[in-house]
Amino acid sequence: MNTESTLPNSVERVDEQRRFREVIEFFGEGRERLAGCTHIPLDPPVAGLVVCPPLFNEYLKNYRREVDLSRALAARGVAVQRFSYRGAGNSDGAPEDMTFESLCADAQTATRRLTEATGVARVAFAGTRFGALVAATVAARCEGAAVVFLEPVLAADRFFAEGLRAKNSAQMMQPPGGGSADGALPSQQHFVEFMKSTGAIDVVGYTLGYGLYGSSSGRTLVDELGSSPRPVLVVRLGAGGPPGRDLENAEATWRRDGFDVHVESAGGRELWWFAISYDTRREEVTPLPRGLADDDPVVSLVSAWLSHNLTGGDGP
Amino acid sequence: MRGPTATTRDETRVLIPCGEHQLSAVSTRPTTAPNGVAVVFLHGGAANSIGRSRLYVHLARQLAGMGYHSLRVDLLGVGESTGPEPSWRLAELATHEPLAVVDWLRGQGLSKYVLAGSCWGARSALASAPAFDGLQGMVLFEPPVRDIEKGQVTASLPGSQFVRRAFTKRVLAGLRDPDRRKRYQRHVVVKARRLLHRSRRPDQARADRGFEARSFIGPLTVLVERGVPTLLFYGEQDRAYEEFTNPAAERLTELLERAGDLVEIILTPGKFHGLGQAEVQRITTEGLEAWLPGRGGVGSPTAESARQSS
Repeated sequence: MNTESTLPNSVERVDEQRRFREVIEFFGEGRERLAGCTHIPLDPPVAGLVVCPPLFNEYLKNYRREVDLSRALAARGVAVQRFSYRGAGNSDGAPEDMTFESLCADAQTATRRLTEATGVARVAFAGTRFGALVAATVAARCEGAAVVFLEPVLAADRFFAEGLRAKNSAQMMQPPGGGSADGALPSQQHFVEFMKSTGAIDVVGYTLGYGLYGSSSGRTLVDELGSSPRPVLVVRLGAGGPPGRDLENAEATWRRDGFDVHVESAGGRELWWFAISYDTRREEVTPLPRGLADDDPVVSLVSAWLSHNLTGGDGP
Repeated sequence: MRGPTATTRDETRVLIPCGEHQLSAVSTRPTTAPNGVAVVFLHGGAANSIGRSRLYVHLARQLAGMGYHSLRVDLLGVGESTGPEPSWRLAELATHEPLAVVDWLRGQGLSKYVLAGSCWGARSALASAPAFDGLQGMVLFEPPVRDIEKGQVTASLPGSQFVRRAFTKRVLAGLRDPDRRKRYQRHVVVKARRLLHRSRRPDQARADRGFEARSFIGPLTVLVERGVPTLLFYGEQDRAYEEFTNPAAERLTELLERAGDLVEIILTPGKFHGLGQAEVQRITTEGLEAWLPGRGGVGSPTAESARQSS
């Protein structure tokens, strides 16, 4: 092997048993390309879905869930496009160059890739955590497009505040001298000022650029999705309990505007900003992500709902 | 001369047969004159071929500028690979994957390689390493040292350390809490079972002196005997580093003394585990870039010559 590749640009796997194929590749016309995978039913697809992934550690944590979900949906006739934003995963680019607009542009590129590769006319959007904000923004540009939000971030500001709290928690675990001279933990305002002056900040090992922070600030899921009615599925992945007030308000707003909204809970246990979940009872580190079986509640909920909303089949 | 950092235009997605399944991987080509050595990255739990904080993406693209090929691999059941999810148990390491990857590299004309693994992936790489002829070096990111099962971290401590820990203020205070009390009871039961098991195998128990790490020390010994350079990364606060420096690990201490410069250790501040600080990533990149040259590349001593010189 030398510096010139003798290998093909993309690689394809066919799953004869589950009747789909997947094309794993780098794509995009610009200087920086995206890494992605198209899951294509062997029979003509009934519709398409673009999956907008979360960010930072949540992206890694959710990776296999998205692969499993996409495979399950492809086996049910839905073509799925997964991708990594520029600055994330195997894509080109640096995380400090991310902006909210670049995330949405990447989702648009992925949508084009899906329609080119499969010819689907109806496209829905799914987004997990911060990816929900991206999915909402891109879906709002497609009249009536269905959207699936998995444990969505309802307000970008809250997401970053949680991240900075995680940074402080991690800081407390460091040896003495890791924090400020008086031992006090820096405030969120301090972090933002620091980010402004240096361009980026390290949040539990991930680079959060001021470009992304600034361009996302003030954005909410309700505002991004707009008021044009469409089918919406919200899947909560947390430990159960009643939905928070923000989600209840979002649901009420969408219903008032004539959206067809379903909020479902799929259980689970996630510490989103952190790499691993510590199960103290077992005194062990439980690695994530867990793979999804076909009968996993997330797969069942999303595929049944999409089947209903994209093909007119039985819904939840 | 150092070439530019690689981009996706220097990379190819590949699928590697592994039994009845397929491993998904990203192959990165050198952006300068190739040195004929491939670096293979094997991830640990809670990660995939991208790595926490994109560590493997970053390393692969940087090393391309130094003439290295690289392959970052999704283990079976992870990322885009097929197959069942790993158990992440030290008793069930991913030993099929390194074999499949090395076969694939040979098919691409690359017979010299460095294996780099993180945590459980490091132990998997280490377990497989003695079988490989073309191995030019091993890089182990925070490998666990002791042979412990899930839920047996405390119970598997050497007896004296187990007793010392049982009488710490924190544990004694915890006895007031019913949940904790139940947990402590479980530790005692597991410890008793382990002692019973060891009493039935006295030779083994004597060799370990209470510190069970045979599946770490065994393959590392083979590598040292074969003259394969090994680089370990630990964080000062890692539990695995505590194990690595445990006074009860006499066999490990002896091995490291015998290995001399063949085994190098880079210690990072705080925790290496989880790569939760940008500083750790910087140290890792710089450490690896400084250590790799001379590990079998064109114009550098091979493992064979290292063996002869030792």
